[in-house]
Amino acid sequence: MLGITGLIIGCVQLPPLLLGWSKFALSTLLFIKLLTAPAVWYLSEQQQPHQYWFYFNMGLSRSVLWGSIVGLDSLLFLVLVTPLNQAFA
Amino acid sequence: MSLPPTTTPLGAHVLEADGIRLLFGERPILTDIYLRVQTGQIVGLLGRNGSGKSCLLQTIFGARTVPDASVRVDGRRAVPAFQTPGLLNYLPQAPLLPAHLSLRQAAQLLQVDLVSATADFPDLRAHLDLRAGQRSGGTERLLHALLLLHADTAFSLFDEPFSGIMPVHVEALGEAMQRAKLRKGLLITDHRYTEVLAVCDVLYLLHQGRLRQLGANPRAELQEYGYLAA
Repeated sequence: MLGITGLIIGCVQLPPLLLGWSKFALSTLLFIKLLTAPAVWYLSEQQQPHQYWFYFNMGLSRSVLWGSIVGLDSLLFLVLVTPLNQAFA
Repeated sequence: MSLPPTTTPLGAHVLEADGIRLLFGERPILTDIYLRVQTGQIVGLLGRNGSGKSCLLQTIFGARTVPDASVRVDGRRAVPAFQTPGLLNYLPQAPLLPAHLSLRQAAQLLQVDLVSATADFPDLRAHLDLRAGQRSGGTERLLHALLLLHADTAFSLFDEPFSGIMPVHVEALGEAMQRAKLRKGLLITDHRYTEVLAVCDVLYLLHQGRLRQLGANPRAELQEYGYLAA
């Protein structure tokens, strides 16, 4: 998910800012980010189906793990994107 | 739910599972299950390939959701069981640890003392700081089994713990299990039936979806049900 954050910032947010075009609204960027979440989840389930066993042994469920990841990732996304948008305001 | 206070002597707990019915398409995998493990026991689960042994362990553990499945500890429902702190852990057939996690980090997270866990395996000490890909499959398997065996849980479910491990270590692991059963109940499944028969106090055979407890002469029954050659 961090890779997707980097891609959205590098390929969607930064080019229009650097070229002086109109910037994407924060809500639009967040919407793009949230759209990618199901794809990330699906690919993760397909490519690493056994990734949960250790966390289950720690008593953590899939929903707790994914909820934490999505929450932290969204927070990090906002922390990175907001200052960039403000810098080019 | 936390682990209920024990009502059995010497801090013993009883894990029971029943009502587990599992179909793959039209094919019934698990139909008539009652399984019981208690502190002080090593319970063996045998069965042909594809008979549903791993599915049963995963269902008891709580990683596989099966409607109407009942898993109880000391008579109290515990579903999904893995979310009850200190209740049980599970060694899957697949690698236990995520690729980014070192053995020492995993031991720290599970609150296991690696030095005491590997006390009977001095030759493993040199492998503790290697990355997962640098250890052999058998060494990796043994370390993961020891990690969960020494974790502070009331029960451990091991899916093929002896797989890929060299004979001298299989023997030592069996002895470690015998010591561990003084403080926990163990449920193991493995096709190395000689070792399973040697360490287990109770044996079950999973055959055509039904779980049968084996009697005093398990080899004869295993032959009768086609698990061992006659």
